[in-house]
Amino acid sequence: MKKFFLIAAIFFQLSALLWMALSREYVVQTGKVVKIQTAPVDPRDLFRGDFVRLDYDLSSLPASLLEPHLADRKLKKGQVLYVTLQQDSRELVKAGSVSDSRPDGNVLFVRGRLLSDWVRNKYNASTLSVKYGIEQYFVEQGKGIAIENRRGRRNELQTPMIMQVALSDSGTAIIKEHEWGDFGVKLTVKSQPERDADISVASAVLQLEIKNVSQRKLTLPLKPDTCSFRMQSIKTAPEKLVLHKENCDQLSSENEVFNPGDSRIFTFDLNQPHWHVWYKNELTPMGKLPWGYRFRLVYEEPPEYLNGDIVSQAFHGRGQID
Amino acid sequence: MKNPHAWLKKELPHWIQDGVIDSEQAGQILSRYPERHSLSWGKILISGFGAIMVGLGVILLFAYNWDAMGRFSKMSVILGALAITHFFAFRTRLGNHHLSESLFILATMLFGAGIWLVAQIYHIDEHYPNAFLLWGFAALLLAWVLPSLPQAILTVGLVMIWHFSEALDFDFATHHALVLILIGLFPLIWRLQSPILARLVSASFFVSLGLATATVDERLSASVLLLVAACLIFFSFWSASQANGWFSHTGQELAKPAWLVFAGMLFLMSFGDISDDLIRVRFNEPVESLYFYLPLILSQLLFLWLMLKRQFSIITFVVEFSVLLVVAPSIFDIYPVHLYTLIFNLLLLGLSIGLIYQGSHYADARKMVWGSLIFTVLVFARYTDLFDSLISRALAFLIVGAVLFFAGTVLNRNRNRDRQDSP
Repeated sequence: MKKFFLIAAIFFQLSALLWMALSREYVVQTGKVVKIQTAPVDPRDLFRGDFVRLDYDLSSLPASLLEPHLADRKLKKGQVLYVTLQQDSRELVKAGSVSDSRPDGNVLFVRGRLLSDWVRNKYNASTLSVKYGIEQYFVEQGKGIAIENRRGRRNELQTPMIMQVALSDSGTAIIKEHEWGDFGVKLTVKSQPERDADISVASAVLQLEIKNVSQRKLTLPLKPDTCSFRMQSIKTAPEKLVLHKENCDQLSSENEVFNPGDSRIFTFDLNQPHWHVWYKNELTPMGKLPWGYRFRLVYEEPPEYLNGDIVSQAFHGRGQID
Repeated sequence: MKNPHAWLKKELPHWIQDGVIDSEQAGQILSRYPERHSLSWGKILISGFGAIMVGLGVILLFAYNWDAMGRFSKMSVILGALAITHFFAFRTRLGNHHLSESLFILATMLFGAGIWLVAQIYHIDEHYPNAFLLWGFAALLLAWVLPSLPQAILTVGLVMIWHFSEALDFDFATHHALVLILIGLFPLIWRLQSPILARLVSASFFVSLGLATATVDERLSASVLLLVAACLIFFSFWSASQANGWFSHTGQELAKPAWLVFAGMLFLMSFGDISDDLIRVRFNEPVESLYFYLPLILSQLLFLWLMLKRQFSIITFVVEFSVLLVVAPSIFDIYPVHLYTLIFNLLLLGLSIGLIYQGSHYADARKMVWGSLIFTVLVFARYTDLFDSLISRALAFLIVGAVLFFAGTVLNRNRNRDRQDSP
């Protein structure tokens, strides 16, 4: 009898390890593969030991994505959430809606857990912090630095990392491997407003450099001036704002060729009235908005062959870049 | 004498042979001195810790995470190593017990390494304390089925790491840790008959209890820790009178950490401002009532039992008085802070003097040391509260020094007397 229990205890150890590995391997082999672009963040916090800490746009979801029955409820830390995913033709996914129950039908979704208690109130930033279990990417000792260098540092050219993720039927996500975006992005401040500047010069002038960091020749459709970019509020902003420059829709794009290493700089003067934002019932320069209102510049019409989106680091209208 | 059982086992046949006692009496004498499974620290250091170090080495080796080694190769190596280690541990368990025990420890370490390796291969960033729970559960299973003291000690360590990481990193109360210790580890003390495990499990239970209650509400911890300590102390008083020598001995071992916690809580309560914060439990959630009333009821039942069986001493009443003192403000919501502070100080003073007296009178150095320690700490704690002038402070230290010096002299004299009296 004792022998039986001993063999059972040994079997437990072996089978627990096998089950852990095989259940993940099954997802890797059979799961639906999607690509999730990591968010450009301050790379100083990325490494701990020999893994890369990853932050996704999916990690911070606007509360507006919550299904109506959840919107006014208190959600507790650790709550399981199901985030439906909208996949574009390049397999890159973006969040659709957020629910506490598994979506029905043939919907693509990922399962995560809420990182902190959430309740809607006027002080609370309406953002849900969600963890999916794919926030660490282990690499061989010493290779982390190479990845860090390629991702770039603050005030340097940063190349987006795109994670290939396998999704199981239950929404479990497992990282398969990583890819690099085709374009690196560098955001710098050309001029910053004085502390008590007049309202007409209360915002910063920013420069966005995009550079072909791939090994192939790329063609990018670009509209005149900065019309190919939109301004999009992120994470901590209490409301989702998307700003476009006026009359851009009427303009047509022209293809511009970027050989490997080619770059182009775009200048954004945030003092221009078309970048002003409705805040407390009046049009306000971005530099006068509270600190929670931060934005990214997003390239609007990525062609199908482009690996990764062209997205800038987050910044505040006064010119503080994350 | 460190191990009277072994000595008696050797001597008793001669006594029977010489007609001093008969075999039935020999059996009765032997049962009064239970066999102590002394821990061979040499063996533990060489084999147990050796196995742990090898296991940690394997974890670090895989942490290098070679790109050249595919995930199937990595899994094959760790699973193969685990299977081979278990195979040899199983094969040698009858012929070479110590080697087998070391190999089983190594296997449990390899199992832990395997958990982290799978997490690394598949980039899993989940709730990491669960890995320690699974690892601890695997060690607990082996501790039961072998049975094995090193596996049990490893389990205690892993359960503690699990609970600390849950409480400190995630602010989870994790009441399950207490259930795991109660169901999985306390009965293991009897199975392994190990005094060291008794002390270790008792101490880990108090640590877990403190963590779980503090995560619910810090005010809850002090009262609950004192109540549970009182339960174990009363249990030790009851078990002391039991015919089963091992049972009685284990009761004393379990109560050692309980005494430490009990004195510590009394010491905390002797500070007016601290006890004012800690002593009144607000029963906001049902779990708080459960934590408070369950040990209270249990301690009172044990106290009643001791009274009915007339197994009490002055210490029994001191403990009971402390229990009633601590629970009264929570139940009746009345707390005369100055009176309480005075009583707690007097209780600690009485406890320390009682221990010093017993230690010096019965030549028990351990009691003497504990009594002196409590007495000294108490005087230091009250140094700034009570003594304003330098003369008073100097006088206090002179009295403390004189008391300890006197008690030490009495202890030495009585020890010499005992030595001369012994044949």
